[in-house]
Amino acid sequence: MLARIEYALRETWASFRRNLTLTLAAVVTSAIALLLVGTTFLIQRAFENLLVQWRGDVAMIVFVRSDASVEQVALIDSTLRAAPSVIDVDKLRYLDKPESYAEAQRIFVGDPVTLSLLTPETIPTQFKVVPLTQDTNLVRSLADQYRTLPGVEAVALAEDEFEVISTLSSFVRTVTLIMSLVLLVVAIGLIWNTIRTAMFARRREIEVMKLVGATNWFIRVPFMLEGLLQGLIGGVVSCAGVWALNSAWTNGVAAFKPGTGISSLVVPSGYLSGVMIAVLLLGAAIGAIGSAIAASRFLDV
Amino acid sequence: MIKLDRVSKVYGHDTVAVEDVSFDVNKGEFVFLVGPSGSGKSTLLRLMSREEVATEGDVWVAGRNVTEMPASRVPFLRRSLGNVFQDYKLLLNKTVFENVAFALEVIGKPRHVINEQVPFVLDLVGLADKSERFPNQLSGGEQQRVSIARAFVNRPLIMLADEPTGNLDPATSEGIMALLHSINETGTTVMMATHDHRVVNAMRRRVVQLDRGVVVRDQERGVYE
Ligand SMILES: Nc1ncnc2c1ncn2[C@@H]1O[C@H](COP(=O)(O)OP(=O)(O)O)[C@@H](O)[C@H]1O
Ligand SMILES: [Mg+2]
Repeated sequence: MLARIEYALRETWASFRRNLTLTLAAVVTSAIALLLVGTTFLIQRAFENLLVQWRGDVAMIVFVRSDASVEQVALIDSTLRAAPSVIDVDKLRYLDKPESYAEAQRIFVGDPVTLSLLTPETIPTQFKVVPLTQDTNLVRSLADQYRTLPGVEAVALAEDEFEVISTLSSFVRTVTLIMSLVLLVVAIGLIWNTIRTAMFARRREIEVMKLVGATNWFIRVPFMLEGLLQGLIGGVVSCAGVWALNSAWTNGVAAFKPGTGISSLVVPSGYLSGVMIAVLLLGAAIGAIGSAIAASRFLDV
Repeated sequence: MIKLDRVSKVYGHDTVAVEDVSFDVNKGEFVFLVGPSGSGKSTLLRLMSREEVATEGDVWVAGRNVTEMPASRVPFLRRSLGNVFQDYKLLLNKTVFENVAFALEVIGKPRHVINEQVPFVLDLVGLADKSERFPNQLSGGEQQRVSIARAFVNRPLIMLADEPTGNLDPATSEGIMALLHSINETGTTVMMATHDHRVVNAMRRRVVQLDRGVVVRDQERGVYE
């Protein structure tokens, strides 16, 4: 067993050095593809912070003063329910203080100044309103009406705040997703080609191996390890890239004026490590796929 | 040890390489497969090592039905065979020692077995003092000795040799035949394809003669006609 492992590792390393140029091309392409995948996830997550309060077709948020009385809240509630042809009353949701506070934690994640001003006691509660109509003017006129109700602090409309960001976010997501998919396929192709070339360069050895009774797995394993390693190295490089990009971005965002919304476009570190692990695994996977295809197709020398 | 039962091999649609061939080879026999070029000698050897599969009939090698063997068992069949070829099939970037060791290494034999067996067979084939040389620093006869050492190092039950003297001059051929003879003396069954009259006539062993894929003679202590 030890002899086999030693053999596989030695052959993998030797082959790596023999095909340095092809190997580099495969590794660099994998790294770029994986970096793009990682970035897609990060961008997605950052935008989500901003969009979290509008999740589920919410188009209007009625913020209620933190010192509003129970009667005032009840009045706002019944006023909202009085327009069942415009507002989807089944989806109408009231977030109390703890819920509103939890959500604010996410929205202002990159904005410690604002966060420090908020406490569960002073935070405004909110009604989340899902309209039934597509008519934004109608929703807008309702909003104007609600602003005059006692106890209402402010009324925010999705149209004003997030339409641009939402469009931008889905555009960026589509573009990066397509690009990463294409690059991933290219990376698999390059790994496949490297392994195929490595096997072709050693076809005489493979012929002798089969002749003296080496099993197909014994012949394959070093080549598959080689491909796996290429993908994995690509993954490590892209991990470093993802980390560096995120640090630079987080620092840049911190310079923005608090409360502009930009400051919430940051990613929590737990999510970042998740993305880095995913990128590593994906790297190993493309390496394994590329080399497995090569090893199974070109073993018949 | 080897049994062919009404074996035919057709390449593609209509190239009949061997047709309705049957014979038995006992353990420890030395058999010459003779016949002109294209008569099907190599095809028969390749059927025995399962580099080809018979179109019809059964091939039995060392008690196993090679024709019906699943591909996953073929490596283990090959471990009981030693193959020798006209063109040696040595790896030019490996030394004599490494070429022979390679055969044990790739079937997972531990280092201590390799370090014990390789010098032993290199001594047997008379190349103990050249184990650090590369193949292109050796004569043709010496290269063939290396390939025989590689085929024999795992103590196969059967040696299959396809024109092993085909590239060698008469004097060198004699040495190779003496080596195959001594390997046969250890109890190893030897099956050798050749169209070299002299080696066949000098040895006086069993001769199976092929002509256009058909066995036309099977004779104990035969000569090349
Ligand atoms: N791989 C192959 N594909 C097609 N035809 C083949 C192949 N190998 C051998 N043949 C044909 O089969 C016949 C027997 O060939 P072979 O077994 O090599 O004979 P020998 O070794 O006696 O010269 C020849 O007609 C040859 O052309
Ligand atoms: Mg031949």
